[in-house]
Amino acid sequence: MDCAICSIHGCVCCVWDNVGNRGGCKVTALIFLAVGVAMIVAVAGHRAIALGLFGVSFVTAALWLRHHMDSVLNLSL
Amino acid sequence: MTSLVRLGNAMGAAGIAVVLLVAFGLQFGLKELPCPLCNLQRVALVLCGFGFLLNLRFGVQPLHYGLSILAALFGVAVAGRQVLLHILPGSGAYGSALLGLHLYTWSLILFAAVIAGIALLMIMGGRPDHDRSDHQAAMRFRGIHRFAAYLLIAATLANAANSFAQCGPVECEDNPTGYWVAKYLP
Repeated sequence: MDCAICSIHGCVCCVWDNVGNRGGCKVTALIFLAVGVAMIVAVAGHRAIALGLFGVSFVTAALWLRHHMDSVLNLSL
Repeated sequence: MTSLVRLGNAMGAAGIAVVLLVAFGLQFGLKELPCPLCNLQRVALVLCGFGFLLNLRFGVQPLHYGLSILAALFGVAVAGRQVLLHILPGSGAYGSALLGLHLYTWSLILFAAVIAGIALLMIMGGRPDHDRSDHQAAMRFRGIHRFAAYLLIAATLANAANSFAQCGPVECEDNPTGYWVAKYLP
């Protein structure tokens, strides 16, 4: 079963392991990279491209939050 | 008043960059790695800063403020989620407290402050800079405004590198204890 986030990134590394260990795409780093590139592009003067990259990053981040909303994070106590 | 608004945008961009750098300081100083929700809050911060950067580069416009507000609302959702995970007595907490509040609580306060700050800038801002040419906007992008933008870009790219170093090509652990890249270092 492919996650929605991986389908957006076209990430072939996204697999759903049957024993429950999820090998996932490197989403957070890619989001940071996309926003960083968007900022560099904006400073260079290309506003439309920068806005497009922002939109992709924002949607991906929102979907990644949706991905985590359903999970119970086993955070330290 | 226009220069004050531009200074406010520069302070917003630089302030977000400083917050991200302080987070790095706590991460490496206290050796407390960010959890997935913590990383998402950092993502929301850089998305907020993007709107300020656009204002500095292309002139103040409602669209740019709108992007920052959307990002701040996203940040409120992420930070709020983490606060609610630990709001029940006995449910524990993640990471150390800073001045009595955990970082995800400070994050929630910060995103609310960003929205309030943007409201203040919009009230002070008056007429948007639609009538300025691209050349004029580029000419005004200098000094402290340019420095603030570069600082934010540096903080964003540093977070990208940190995120990859921590998790590698797999999903980040819910409760991270080490860096993925450490396996490959001598």
